[in-house]
Amino acid sequence: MKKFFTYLLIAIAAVAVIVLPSCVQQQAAAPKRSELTLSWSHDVGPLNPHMYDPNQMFAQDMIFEPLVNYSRGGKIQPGLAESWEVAPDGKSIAFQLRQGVNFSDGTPFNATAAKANFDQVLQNRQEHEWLGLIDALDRVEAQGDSVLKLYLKTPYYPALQELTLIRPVRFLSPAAFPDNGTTAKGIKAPIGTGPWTLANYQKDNQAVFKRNETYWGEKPAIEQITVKVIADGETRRLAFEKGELDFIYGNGEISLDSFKQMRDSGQYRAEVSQPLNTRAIAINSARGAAQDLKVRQAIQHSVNKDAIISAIFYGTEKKADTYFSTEVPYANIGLQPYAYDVERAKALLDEAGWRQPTGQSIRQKDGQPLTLDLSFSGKNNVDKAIGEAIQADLKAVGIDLKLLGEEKQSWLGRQTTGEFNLIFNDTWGPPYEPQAIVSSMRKPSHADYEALSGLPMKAEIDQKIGKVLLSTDETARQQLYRDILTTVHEQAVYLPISYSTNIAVLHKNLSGFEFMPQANQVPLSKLSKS
Amino acid sequence: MGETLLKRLTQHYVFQRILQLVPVLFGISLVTFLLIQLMPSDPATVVLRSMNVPTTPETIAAMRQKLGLDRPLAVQYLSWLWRVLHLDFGRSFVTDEPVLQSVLYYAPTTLMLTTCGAALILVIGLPMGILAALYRDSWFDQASRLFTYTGTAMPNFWLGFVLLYLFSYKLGWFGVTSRGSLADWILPAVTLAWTPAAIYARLLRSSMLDSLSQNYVLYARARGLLERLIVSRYVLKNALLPLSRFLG
Repeated sequence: MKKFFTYLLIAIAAVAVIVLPSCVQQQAAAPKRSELTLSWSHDVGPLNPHMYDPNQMFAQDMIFEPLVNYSRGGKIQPGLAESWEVAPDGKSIAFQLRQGVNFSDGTPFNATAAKANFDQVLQNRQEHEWLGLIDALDRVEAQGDSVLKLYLKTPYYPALQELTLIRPVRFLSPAAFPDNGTTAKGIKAPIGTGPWTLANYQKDNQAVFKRNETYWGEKPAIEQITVKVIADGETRRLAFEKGELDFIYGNGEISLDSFKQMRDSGQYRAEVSQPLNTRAIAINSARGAAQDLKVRQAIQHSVNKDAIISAIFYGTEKKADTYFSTEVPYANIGLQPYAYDVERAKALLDEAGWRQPTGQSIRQKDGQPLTLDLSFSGKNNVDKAIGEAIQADLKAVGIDLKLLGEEKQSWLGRQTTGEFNLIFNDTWGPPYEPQAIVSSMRKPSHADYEALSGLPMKAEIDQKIGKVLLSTDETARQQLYRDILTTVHEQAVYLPISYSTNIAVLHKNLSGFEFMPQANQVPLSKLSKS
Repeated sequence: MGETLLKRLTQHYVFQRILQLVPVLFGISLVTFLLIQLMPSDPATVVLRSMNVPTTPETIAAMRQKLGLDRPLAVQYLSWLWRVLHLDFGRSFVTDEPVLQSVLYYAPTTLMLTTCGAALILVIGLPMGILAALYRDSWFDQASRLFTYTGTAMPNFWLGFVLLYLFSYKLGWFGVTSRGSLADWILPAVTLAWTPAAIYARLLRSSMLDSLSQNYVLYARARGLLERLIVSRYVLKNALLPLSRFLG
């Protein structure tokens, strides 16, 4: 009997030794030069251009195109529209559509098809009302085959910026509209005019995109892109180093430790993008000790952002002194940064009446300790690490910061109800800045609104925001933005930490790589492989 | 006569167990349903956020009505139960796909992994446990002990990563991301089976040792039965009893 089991075990071991090595995959053998493989942490989704999650923006961007494109610094470039004209009263825009463009199924892209797409979006208005453009849009008309005219209820200057967004206003072939109902309920197939078409899709496994051979613009050098779903960052890195992936791209797709190791190894090309959006903390001016401007200013002076950036981000992000980076339109107005100055912070707190009792580390006023909370989504390890650093910094000046890590929905709930002292509230990056963020400062149910709600000049700020979005005069607009952004900065209601970036790690045989102007675009069309 | 009685009894027993499943499933569904009510976030708000609709009291009320969340809890539960009994599991709040379809989409992968995992647990755990008991305190026993310690000490996400690192990245035997061939199931199945196989082997060893010291074994040996027979007929049969629960 003993022998039998010994033999059995030996047999299993032998089978394992023989079978396992024979499983060696041949795929490492020269992946094709015309094909690229990358990975994403989520499935690309149904790729409905008019909808949000679970559609992944980068993949929507591969297939669907906007009327106009966004380039760095906020400049608007032609897209499916060759030119456009805004009426003097700002209440209508006429687009001259590009001729000879077809959807990848052969359906021509013309004013009728474009209008049909707008109508689908407008029938589902409520879902898109967060976007000022849709809120302002009254109706869309097709004039002939090649002119599309947008009529607005009120002038809305950022209309063109918001038409560059990846969703919801991009164009699906009318042949792919559902038979019943609107595209909000689902589409037949993701068919657009863009440089890529979806060739094969296996949910939660992979999606294969092929070059659109009838693309009107410059065709990509690569013929096929495979997007594999890998949820875990470390596995992504292994797959990349083994050569199964051609590049890694994004924000948070791999840990910054991995990025640093791969960058320092010198085996790969590692890149960091321009500043995209701002990692910031909103300070509620209507609640607790932070109602006092001096306390808010003291917080600004006590946080050592350089230390956070070098310890947590390994220098991959730039320090943020202002809520919007100077690259954002209208935001380059020379605001004075709050310097890291512990003594200054202490003096401000003293002035505000928060004294440090001898032998105690936390300041008090009228017997109450100076305690604030900082809310974040418990699973967000980066925010947690930043929170811990800030907690230590504030303790040094006598502020007790309680870290409140909760389930994501609870954290989002606090943003809308204002039940926070400090809360993580990142900006959305181009092309939403500054207009969409500024607009949300006057809409209840936004952390921005709640943060500003205790300011004595809140009504005045709201009024200026209302004006700036309607203004048709460039100089007046600049002045209004200058006023709004200066007040918000001086009132210290935002604690900007850093400007976040996308990172990319590429094998050295890839060329033609450059970062995209929008955070959620992945640069695929210009890549080539040798 | 005795045989038919036994047959009827087992049939009865199986039947009983199946009947018992009904209240158990009912209880699970009720508890799950109530647990969801305890969550701090309101499903209607979550759906609105995922759709990007501003969460104002009006939109939340409208969504609650649309999802039927405005009805009393008992009505919500009973209507869900009624539809489930007709095999209608409803639609996902977020993706709007039929729930059954989503479950069926992932079921083959889950089943395949479970089958491979269970097979590995038996193939590794069973002989290892038996040999470790028969050759108590030998080098093999020590090795199996080491296997158990590593198996129980390593969380499987870590084990999975280490296996990927060694066999996919360093040795290149498997793909990191590939899927489709039979070989691609090996690493996931090993990852899933390692810890249970280790525990299984250890449990089997101790219950084998327990059985080996019983009087009936002593008696069987005294009768001069073959050792092979003793181990397979008396010891293993009895030792497997406490383990059948674990595998189930």
